[in-house]
Amino acid sequence: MKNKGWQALNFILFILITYWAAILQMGLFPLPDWSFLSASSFALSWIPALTYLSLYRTPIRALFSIYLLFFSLNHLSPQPLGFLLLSGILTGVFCQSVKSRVFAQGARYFLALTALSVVVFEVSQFFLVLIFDGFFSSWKDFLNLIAQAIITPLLAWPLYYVFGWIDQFTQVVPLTELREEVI
Amino acid sequence: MNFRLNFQKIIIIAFLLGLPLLSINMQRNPGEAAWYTQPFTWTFSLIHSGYSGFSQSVRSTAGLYLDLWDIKKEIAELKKENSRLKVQQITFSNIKKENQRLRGLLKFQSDQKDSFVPAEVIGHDIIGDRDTLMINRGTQHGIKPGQAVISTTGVVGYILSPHTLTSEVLTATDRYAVIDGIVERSRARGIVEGTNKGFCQLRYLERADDVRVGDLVVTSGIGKYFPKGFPIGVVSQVKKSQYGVSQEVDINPVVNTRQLEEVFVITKTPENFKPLSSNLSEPLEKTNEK
Repeated sequence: MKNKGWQALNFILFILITYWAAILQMGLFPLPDWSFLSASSFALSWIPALTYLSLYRTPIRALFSIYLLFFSLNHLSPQPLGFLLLSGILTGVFCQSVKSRVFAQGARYFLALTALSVVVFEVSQFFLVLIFDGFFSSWKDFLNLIAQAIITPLLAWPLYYVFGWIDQFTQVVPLTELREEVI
Repeated sequence: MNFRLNFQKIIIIAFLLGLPLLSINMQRNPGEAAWYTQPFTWTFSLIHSGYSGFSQSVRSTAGLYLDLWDIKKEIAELKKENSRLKVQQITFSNIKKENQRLRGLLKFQSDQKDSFVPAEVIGHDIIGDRDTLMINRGTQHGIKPGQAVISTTGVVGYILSPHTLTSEVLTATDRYAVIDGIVERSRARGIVEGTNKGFCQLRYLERADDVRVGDLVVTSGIGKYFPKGFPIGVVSQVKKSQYGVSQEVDINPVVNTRQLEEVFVITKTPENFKPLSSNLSEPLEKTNEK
Protein backbone atom coordinates (compact mmCIF):
# COMPACT_ATOMS: atom_id res chain seq x y z
CA MET A 1 0.00 0.00 0.00
CA LYS A 2 1.19 3.50 -0.81
CA ASN A 3 2.10 5.94 1.94
CA LYS A 4 -1.11 7.96 1.47
CA GLY A 5 -3.15 4.78 1.65
CA TRP A 6 -1.58 3.86 4.98
CA GLN A 7 -2.21 7.34 6.27
CA ALA A 8 -5.87 7.19 5.23
CA LEU A 9 -6.23 3.79 6.88
CA ASN A 10 -4.55 5.17 9.99
CA PHE A 11 -7.04 7.98 10.13
CA ILE A 12 -10.06 5.76 9.50
CA LEU A 13 -8.97 3.41 12.28
CA PHE A 14 -8.52 6.35 14.64
CA ILE A 15 -11.99 7.67 13.89
CA LEU A 16 -13.59 4.24 14.24
CA ILE A 17 -11.89 3.50 17.56
CA THR A 18 -12.83 6.93 18.88
CA TYR A 19 -16.40 6.56 17.70
CA TRP A 20 -16.62 3.13 19.29
CA ALA A 21 -15.29 4.54 22.58
CA ALA A 22 -17.84 7.37 22.38
CA ILE A 23 -20.83 5.08 21.86
CA LEU A 24 -19.58 2.81 24.63
CA GLN A 25 -19.49 5.85 26.90
CA MET A 26 -22.98 6.89 25.78
CA GLY A 27 -24.33 3.47 26.57
CA LEU A 28 -23.07 3.42 30.15
CA PHE A 29 -26.34 3.90 31.96
CA PRO A 30 -28.59 3.74 33.92
CA LEU A 31 -26.87 5.71 36.63
CA PRO A 32 -28.09 5.49 40.22
CA ASP A 33 -30.22 8.35 41.52
CA TRP A 34 -27.64 9.34 44.13
CA SER A 35 -24.96 9.89 41.51
CA PHE A 36 -23.98 13.53 41.16
CA LEU A 37 -22.54 12.86 37.74
CA SER A 38 -24.47 13.61 34.60
CA ALA A 39 -25.55 10.48 32.85
CA SER A 40 -22.78 8.92 30.76
CA SER A 41 -20.52 11.97 30.91
CA PHE A 42 -18.27 10.99 33.79
CA ALA A 43 -15.55 10.37 31.21
CA LEU A 44 -15.01 11.95 27.83
CA SER A 45 -13.85 8.88 25.94
CA TRP A 46 -13.04 10.77 22.72
CA ILE A 47 -10.68 13.27 24.40
CA PRO A 48 -7.72 10.80 24.36
CA ALA A 49 -7.92 10.66 20.55
CA LEU A 50 -8.07 14.43 20.35
CA THR A 51 -5.02 14.69 22.60
CA TYR A 52 -3.11 11.99 20.74
CA LEU A 53 -3.75 13.52 17.33
CA SER A 54 -2.82 16.98 18.63
CA LEU A 55 0.40 15.73 20.20
CA TYR A 56 1.74 13.32 17.64
CA ARG A 57 0.70 14.87 14.34
CA THR A 58 1.73 17.99 12.43
CA PRO A 59 -0.48 21.05 13.10
CA ILE A 60 -2.26 20.71 9.75
CA ARG A 61 -3.03 17.04 10.22
CA ALA A 62 -4.10 17.69 13.78
CA LEU A 63 -6.47 20.41 12.56
CA PHE A 64 -7.95 18.16 9.86
CA SER A 65 -8.28 15.35 12.38
CA ILE A 66 -10.11 17.57 14.86
CA TYR A 67 -12.52 18.71 12.16
CA LEU A 68 -13.27 15.18 10.98
CA LEU A 69 -13.44 13.86 14.54
CA PHE A 70 -16.15 16.34 15.45
CA PHE A 71 -17.98 15.89 12.15
CA SER A 72 -18.27 12.22 13.04
CA LEU A 73 -19.24 12.81 16.67
CA ASN A 74 -21.56 15.74 16.01
CA HIS A 75 -24.75 13.73 15.69
CA LEU A 76 -24.24 12.24 19.15
CA SER A 77 -24.87 15.57 20.82
CA PRO A 78 -27.23 18.50 20.18
CA GLN A 79 -24.38 20.85 20.99
CA PRO A 80 -23.77 23.05 17.92
CA LEU A 81 -20.86 21.96 15.74
CA GLY A 82 -19.28 25.41 16.09
CA PHE A 83 -19.08 24.97 19.89
CA LEU A 84 -17.46 21.57 19.55
CA LEU A 85 -14.98 22.71 16.91
CA LEU A 86 -13.97 25.83 18.78
CA SER A 87 -13.40 23.86 21.98
CA GLY A 88 -11.62 21.07 20.08
CA ILE A 89 -9.29 23.46 18.28
CA LEU A 90 -8.55 25.31 21.50
CA THR A 91 -7.69 21.99 23.13
CA GLY A 92 -5.48 21.06 20.17
CA VAL A 93 -3.68 24.39 20.25
CA PHE A 94 -3.21 23.96 24.01
CA CYS A 95 -1.66 20.50 23.52
CA GLN A 96 0.66 21.78 20.78
CA SER A 97 1.80 24.73 22.87
CA VAL A 98 2.46 22.52 25.92
CA LYS A 99 4.36 20.10 23.69
CA SER A 100 6.56 22.91 22.33
CA ARG A 101 7.61 23.78 25.89
CA VAL A 102 7.57 20.49 27.79
CA PHE A 103 7.69 17.10 26.17
CA ALA A 104 8.33 13.60 27.43
CA GLN A 105 8.00 10.21 25.83
CA GLY A 106 5.62 7.62 27.18
CA ALA A 107 2.14 7.05 28.51
CA ARG A 108 2.43 9.19 31.66
CA TYR A 109 2.93 12.39 29.71
CA PHE A 110 0.03 11.49 27.45
CA LEU A 111 -2.23 10.77 30.44
CA ALA A 112 -1.32 14.08 32.07
CA LEU A 113 -2.06 15.94 28.85
CA THR A 114 -5.37 14.08 28.52
CA ALA A 115 -6.42 15.24 32.00
CA LEU A 116 -5.47 18.82 31.12
CA SER A 117 -7.27 18.55 27.78
CA VAL A 118 -10.48 17.57 29.58
CA VAL A 119 -10.21 20.70 31.71
CA VAL A 120 -9.43 22.95 28.72
CA PHE A 121 -12.26 21.47 26.66
CA GLU A 122 -14.85 21.71 29.44
CA VAL A 123 -13.81 25.21 30.52
CA SER A 124 -14.02 26.44 26.92
CA GLN A 125 -17.45 24.79 26.63
CA PHE A 126 -18.51 26.52 29.83
CA PHE A 127 -17.55 29.94 28.47
CA LEU A 128 -19.07 29.31 25.03
CA VAL A 129 -22.35 28.24 26.60
CA LEU A 130 -22.23 31.21 28.97
CA ILE A 131 -21.56 33.68 26.15
CA PHE A 132 -23.85 32.32 23.44
CA ASP A 133 -26.60 30.63 25.48
CA GLY A 134 -26.38 32.77 28.61
CA PHE A 135 -26.55 29.58 30.64
CA PHE A 136 -24.53 29.23 33.83
CA SER A 137 -23.59 25.68 34.80
CA SER A 138 -24.52 24.41 38.24
CA TRP A 139 -22.05 23.30 40.92
CA LYS A 140 -22.77 19.71 39.87
CA ASP A 141 -21.08 20.39 36.55
CA PHE A 142 -17.88 21.39 38.32
CA LEU A 143 -17.92 18.15 40.32
CA ASN A 144 -18.46 16.45 37.00
CA LEU A 145 -15.41 18.20 35.55
CA ILE A 146 -13.22 16.95 38.41
CA ALA A 147 -14.51 13.41 37.93
CA GLN A 148 -13.93 13.63 34.18
CA ALA A 149 -10.35 14.86 34.67
CA ILE A 150 -9.67 11.84 36.90
CA ILE A 151 -11.56 9.11 35.04
CA THR A 152 -10.75 10.06 31.42
CA PRO A 153 -6.97 9.46 31.81
CA LEU A 154 -7.77 6.00 33.20
CA LEU A 155 -9.62 5.31 30.00
CA ALA A 156 -6.83 6.95 27.99
CA TRP A 157 -4.23 4.53 29.32
CA PRO A 158 -5.33 1.47 27.28
CA LEU A 159 -6.26 3.73 24.37
CA TYR A 160 -2.69 5.08 24.26
CA TYR A 161 -1.41 1.59 23.48
CA VAL A 162 -4.22 0.97 20.98
CA PHE A 163 -3.35 4.21 19.18
CA GLY A 164 0.34 3.27 19.29
CA TRP A 165 -0.50 -0.09 17.75
CA ILE A 166 -2.55 1.59 14.98
CA ASP A 167 0.41 3.86 14.19
CA GLN A 168 2.73 0.87 14.11
CA PHE A 169 0.36 -1.18 11.97
CA THR A 170 -0.20 1.61 9.46
CA GLN A 171 3.49 2.55 9.43
CA VAL A 172 2.88 6.08 10.67
CA VAL A 173 5.65 7.36 12.90
CA PRO A 174 4.25 9.49 15.73
CA LEU A 175 5.66 13.00 15.54
CA THR A 176 7.72 13.75 18.62
CA GLU A 177 9.66 16.85 19.62
CA LEU A 178 12.93 15.13 18.75
CA ARG A 179 11.82 14.23 15.24
CA GLU A 180 10.56 17.77 14.64
CA GLU A 181 14.03 19.09 15.45
CA VAL A 182 15.64 16.64 13.09
CA ILE A 183 13.30 17.72 10.26
CA MET B 1 10.04 23.23 1.49
CA ASN B 2 9.42 26.94 1.61
CA PHE B 3 6.33 26.57 -0.60
CA ARG B 4 5.09 23.72 1.58
CA LEU B 5 5.34 25.82 4.71
CA ASN B 6 3.42 28.66 3.09
CA PHE B 7 0.83 26.26 1.80
CA GLN B 8 0.46 24.83 5.31
CA LYS B 9 -0.04 28.29 6.74
CA ILE B 10 -2.65 29.13 4.12
CA ILE B 11 -4.59 25.96 4.91
CA ILE B 12 -4.44 26.62 8.65
CA ILE B 13 -5.62 30.20 8.21
CA ALA B 14 -8.41 29.09 5.85
CA PHE B 15 -9.66 26.54 8.38
CA LEU B 16 -9.45 28.93 11.29
CA LEU B 17 -11.30 31.56 9.27
CA GLY B 18 -13.87 28.96 8.30
CA LEU B 19 -14.79 28.51 11.94
CA PRO B 20 -16.87 31.64 12.37
CA LEU B 21 -18.83 30.63 9.27
CA LEU B 22 -19.59 27.27 10.82
CA SER B 23 -20.41 28.94 14.11
CA ILE B 24 -23.24 30.81 12.42
CA ASN B 25 -25.01 27.49 12.58
CA MET B 26 -24.78 27.43 16.37
CA GLN B 27 -28.52 27.96 16.82
CA ARG B 28 -29.50 24.82 14.97
CA ASN B 29 -33.20 24.39 14.36
CA PRO B 30 -34.72 21.05 15.33
CA GLY B 31 -34.27 18.48 12.63
CA GLU B 32 -31.87 20.57 10.61
CA ALA B 33 -28.33 19.44 9.95
CA ALA B 34 -25.63 21.18 7.97
CA TRP B 35 -25.09 19.64 4.53
CA TYR B 36 -21.40 18.99 5.20
CA THR B 37 -22.16 16.91 8.29
CA GLN B 38 -24.88 14.82 6.68
CA PRO B 39 -22.61 12.16 5.10
CA PHE B 40 -20.85 11.73 8.45
CA THR B 41 -24.15 11.60 10.30
CA TRP B 42 -25.56 9.04 7.88
CA THR B 43 -22.47 6.80 8.02
CA PHE B 44 -22.01 6.96 11.77
CA SER B 45 -25.72 6.62 12.44
CA LEU B 46 -25.56 3.29 10.60
CA ILE B 47 -22.50 2.23 12.60
CA HIS B 48 -24.16 3.28 15.84
CA SER B 49 -27.35 1.45 15.04
CA GLY B 50 -25.43 -1.66 13.97
CA TYR B 51 -23.32 -1.60 17.09
CA SER B 52 -26.29 -1.10 19.41
CA GLY B 53 -28.15 -3.90 17.65
CA PHE B 54 -25.14 -6.19 17.98
CA SER B 55 -24.61 -5.19 21.60
CA GLN B 56 -28.27 -5.71 22.36
CA SER B 57 -28.32 -9.14 20.77
CA VAL B 58 -25.11 -10.19 22.56
CA ARG B 59 -26.53 -9.03 25.88
CA SER B 60 -29.86 -10.72 25.33
CA THR B 61 -28.26 -13.94 24.09
CA ALA B 62 -25.90 -14.10 27.05
CA GLY B 63 -28.83 -13.35 29.34
CA LEU B 64 -30.91 -16.07 27.83
CA TYR B 65 -28.19 -18.65 28.44
CA LEU B 66 -27.47 -17.42 31.92
CA ASP B 67 -31.07 -17.46 33.03
CA LEU B 68 -33.79 -19.87 32.28
CA TRP B 69 -34.16 -18.67 28.75
CA ASP B 70 -37.77 -19.63 28.20
CA ILE B 71 -38.98 -17.68 31.19
CA LYS B 72 -36.84 -14.65 30.42
CA LYS B 73 -38.07 -14.49 26.86
CA GLU B 74 -41.64 -14.66 27.99
CA ILE B 75 -41.05 -11.98 30.64
CA ALA B 76 -39.44 -9.69 28.08
CA GLU B 77 -42.42 -10.09 25.77
CA LEU B 78 -44.88 -9.56 28.59
CA LYS B 79 -42.98 -6.46 29.75
CA LYS B 80 -43.16 -4.99 26.28
CA GLU B 81 -46.85 -5.70 26.06
CA ASN B 82 -47.39 -4.37 29.58
CA SER B 83 -45.59 -1.11 28.77
CA ARG B 84 -47.66 -0.69 25.66
CA LEU B 85 -50.85 -1.36 27.56
CA LYS B 86 -49.87 1.08 30.31
CA VAL B 87 -49.38 3.83 27.77
CA GLN B 88 -52.67 2.96 26.16
CA GLN B 89 -54.32 2.95 29.57
CA ILE B 90 -53.08 6.50 30.24
CA THR B 91 -54.33 7.56 26.84
CA PHE B 92 -57.70 5.95 27.33
CA SER B 93 -58.19 7.30 30.84
CA ASN B 94 -57.42 10.79 29.55
CA ILE B 95 -59.77 10.33 26.65
CA LYS B 96 -62.40 9.10 29.08
CA LYS B 97 -62.00 12.20 31.23
CA GLU B 98 -62.20 14.40 28.20
CA ASN B 99 -65.26 12.56 26.98
CA GLN B 100 -66.94 13.04 30.33
CA ARG B 101 -66.35 16.78 30.10
CA LEU B 102 -67.40 17.11 26.53
CA ARG B 103 -70.01 14.37 26.32
CA GLY B 104 -72.72 15.28 23.95
CA LEU B 105 -70.63 18.06 22.45
CA LEU B 106 -67.93 16.16 20.69
CA LYS B 107 -67.63 12.91 18.84
CA PHE B 108 -63.93 12.25 19.14
CA GLN B 109 -63.08 9.51 16.72
CA SER B 110 -59.41 9.14 17.32
CA ASP B 111 -57.96 5.72 16.91
CA GLN B 112 -54.80 5.19 18.94
CA LYS B 113 -53.99 1.86 17.31
CA ASP B 114 -50.46 1.73 15.89
CA SER B 115 -49.77 5.39 16.74
CA PHE B 116 -46.76 4.53 18.92
CA VAL B 117 -43.33 3.44 17.81
CA PRO B 118 -41.54 1.62 20.64
CA ALA B 119 -37.85 2.46 20.87
CA GLU B 120 -34.91 1.57 23.04
CA VAL B 121 -32.64 4.15 24.60
CA ILE B 122 -29.14 3.44 23.27
CA GLY B 123 -27.25 6.36 24.73
CA HIS B 124 -27.05 9.72 26.40
CA ASP B 125 -25.37 12.94 25.30
CA ILE B 126 -21.59 12.52 24.90
CA ILE B 127 -20.73 15.98 26.21
CA GLY B 128 -22.95 15.83 29.27
CA ASP B 129 -23.83 19.50 28.97
CA ARG B 130 -27.22 18.72 27.48
CA ASP B 131 -30.05 16.43 28.57
CA THR B 132 -30.60 14.33 25.47
CA LEU B 133 -31.14 10.67 24.69
CA MET B 134 -30.37 8.61 21.63
CA ILE B 135 -32.97 6.05 20.55
CA ASN B 136 -32.72 3.22 18.05
CA ARG B 137 -35.47 4.45 15.74
CA GLY B 138 -35.02 6.95 12.92
CA THR B 139 -36.52 8.34 9.76
CA GLN B 140 -36.74 4.83 8.36
CA HIS B 141 -39.28 4.03 11.09
CA GLY B 142 -41.35 7.14 10.46
CA ILE B 143 -39.73 9.37 13.06
CA LYS B 144 -39.93 13.12 12.41
CA PRO B 145 -38.64 16.17 14.28
CA GLY B 146 -40.89 17.40 17.05
CA GLN B 147 -42.73 14.13 17.64
CA ALA B 148 -43.57 13.45 21.26
CA VAL B 149 -41.59 10.87 23.21
CA ILE B 150 -43.28 9.32 26.22
CA SER B 151 -42.70 6.46 28.64
CA THR B 152 -45.09 4.44 30.72
CA THR B 153 -44.92 7.08 33.47
CA GLY B 154 -45.24 10.26 31.42
CA VAL B 155 -43.57 12.72 29.09
CA VAL B 156 -39.90 12.16 28.24
CA GLY B 157 -39.41 14.92 25.66
CA TYR B 158 -39.56 15.22 21.91
CA ILE B 159 -37.53 14.30 18.83
CA LEU B 160 -34.83 16.85 18.14
CA SER B 161 -33.13 15.40 15.09
CA PRO B 162 -33.94 12.07 13.52
CA HIS B 163 -31.22 10.27 11.58
CA THR B 164 -31.65 7.24 9.34
CA LEU B 165 -31.71 4.60 12.06
CA THR B 166 -31.30 6.60 15.24
CA SER B 167 -32.81 9.77 16.68
CA GLU B 168 -31.86 12.39 19.20
CA VAL B 169 -34.48 13.08 21.88
CA LEU B 170 -34.53 16.40 23.71
CA THR B 171 -35.74 15.58 27.21
CA ALA B 172 -38.10 17.86 29.12
CA THR B 173 -35.30 18.89 31.49
CA ASP B 174 -32.99 20.22 28.76
CA ARG B 175 -32.64 23.99 28.74
CA TYR B 176 -33.99 24.21 25.19
CA ALA B 177 -37.05 22.02 25.84
CA VAL B 178 -40.44 23.75 25.81
CA ILE B 179 -43.75 21.95 26.32
CA ASP B 180 -47.19 23.48 26.74
CA GLY B 181 -48.61 22.33 30.07
CA ILE B 182 -51.56 22.75 32.38
CA VAL B 183 -52.05 22.12 36.08
CA GLU B 184 -54.40 19.15 36.18
CA ARG B 185 -56.35 20.30 39.25
CA SER B 186 -56.91 23.98 38.46
CA ARG B 187 -56.42 23.91 34.65
CA ALA B 188 -53.96 26.84 34.97
CA ARG B 189 -51.93 26.97 31.76
CA GLY B 190 -48.25 27.72 31.31
CA ILE B 191 -45.13 26.72 29.45
CA VAL B 192 -42.93 23.98 30.89
CA GLU B 193 -39.26 24.79 30.26
CA GLY B 194 -36.21 22.71 31.06
CA THR B 195 -33.39 24.03 33.20
CA ASN B 196 -30.58 21.48 32.66
CA LYS B 197 -30.54 21.04 36.42
CA GLY B 198 -32.74 17.98 36.68
CA PHE B 199 -36.03 19.84 37.04
CA CYS B 200 -38.34 21.99 34.91
CA GLN B 201 -40.12 25.29 35.46
CA LEU B 202 -43.70 26.18 34.67
CA ARG B 203 -43.54 29.70 33.30
CA TYR B 204 -45.88 32.43 32.11
CA LEU B 205 -48.49 31.63 34.73
CA GLU B 206 -50.50 34.53 36.03
CA ARG B 207 -50.05 35.50 39.65
CA ALA B 208 -53.67 34.69 40.42
CA ASP B 209 -53.44 31.17 38.94
CA ASP B 210 -54.08 28.44 41.47
CA VAL B 211 -50.94 26.27 41.76
CA ARG B 212 -49.92 24.31 44.84
CA VAL B 213 -47.02 22.05 45.77
CA GLY B 214 -47.91 18.49 44.81
CA ASP B 215 -50.09 19.46 41.83
CA LEU B 216 -49.64 17.35 38.73
CA VAL B 217 -48.73 19.20 35.54
CA VAL B 218 -49.88 17.52 32.35
CA THR B 219 -49.62 18.28 28.64
CA SER B 220 -52.24 20.73 27.43
CA GLY B 221 -52.61 19.20 24.01
CA ILE B 222 -52.07 22.59 22.40
CA GLY B 223 -49.60 22.33 19.59
CA LYS B 224 -49.13 19.63 17.05
CA TYR B 225 -47.45 16.77 18.78
CA PHE B 226 -48.33 16.04 22.40
CA PRO B 227 -51.68 14.47 23.15
CA LYS B 228 -53.62 16.03 25.99
CA GLY B 229 -53.22 14.88 29.58
CA PHE B 230 -49.85 13.13 29.70
CA PRO B 231 -48.08 13.72 33.04
CA ILE B 232 -45.02 15.99 32.82
CA GLY B 233 -44.16 16.49 36.47
CA VAL B 234 -45.22 17.34 39.99
CA VAL B 235 -45.00 20.86 41.40
CA SER B 236 -42.19 20.98 43.96
CA GLN B 237 -41.97 24.70 44.70
CA VAL B 238 -44.08 27.82 44.12
CA LYS B 239 -42.36 31.18 44.39
CA LYS B 240 -44.29 34.44 44.34
CA SER B 241 -42.32 37.65 44.58
CA GLN B 242 -43.78 40.56 46.50
CA TYR B 243 -44.34 42.46 43.28
CA GLY B 244 -44.85 41.17 39.76
CA VAL B 245 -47.56 39.66 37.64
CA SER B 246 -46.36 36.08 37.45
CA GLN B 247 -45.12 33.29 39.68
CA GLU B 248 -42.24 30.83 39.47
CA VAL B 249 -43.12 27.18 39.68
CA ASP B 250 -40.56 24.36 39.87
CA ILE B 251 -41.56 20.92 38.64
CA ASN B 252 -39.99 17.55 39.34
CA PRO B 253 -40.35 15.48 36.17
CA VAL B 254 -42.24 12.21 36.58
CA VAL B 255 -39.80 10.44 34.28
CA ASN B 256 -36.26 9.69 35.43
CA THR B 257 -34.31 9.84 32.18
CA ARG B 258 -31.19 8.42 33.84
CA GLN B 259 -32.83 5.06 34.21
CA LEU B 260 -34.97 5.05 31.14
CA GLU B 261 -34.46 2.11 28.82
CA GLU B 262 -37.56 2.03 26.68
CA VAL B 263 -39.69 4.84 25.28
CA PHE B 264 -42.54 5.36 22.82
CA VAL B 265 -42.58 7.89 20.01
CA ILE B 266 -46.02 9.18 19.14
CA THR B 267 -46.05 9.15 15.38
CA LYS B 268 -49.73 9.86 14.97
CA THR B 269 -50.16 13.44 16.09
CA PRO B 270 -53.48 15.01 17.06
CA GLU B 271 -53.44 16.64 13.65
CA ASN B 272 -53.47 13.23 12.00
CA PHE B 273 -56.37 11.98 14.09
CA LYS B 274 -59.65 11.50 12.29
CA PRO B 275 -61.56 14.75 11.92
CA LEU B 276 -63.87 15.81 14.68
CA SER B 277 -67.57 15.92 14.06
CA SER B 278 -68.99 18.76 12.03
CA ASN B 279 -70.84 20.22 15.01
CA LEU B 280 -67.56 20.84 16.85
CA SER B 281 -67.31 24.58 16.36
CA GLU B 282 -70.72 25.42 17.73
CA PRO B 283 -70.46 23.60 21.04
CA LEU B 284 -66.92 24.81 21.61
CA GLU B 285 -67.97 28.39 21.12
CA LYS B 286 -70.71 27.80 23.64
CA THR B 287 -68.23 26.31 26.06
CA ASN B 288 -65.98 29.31 25.67
CA GLU B 289 -68.83 31.66 26.38
CA LYS B 290 -69.42 29.93 29.68
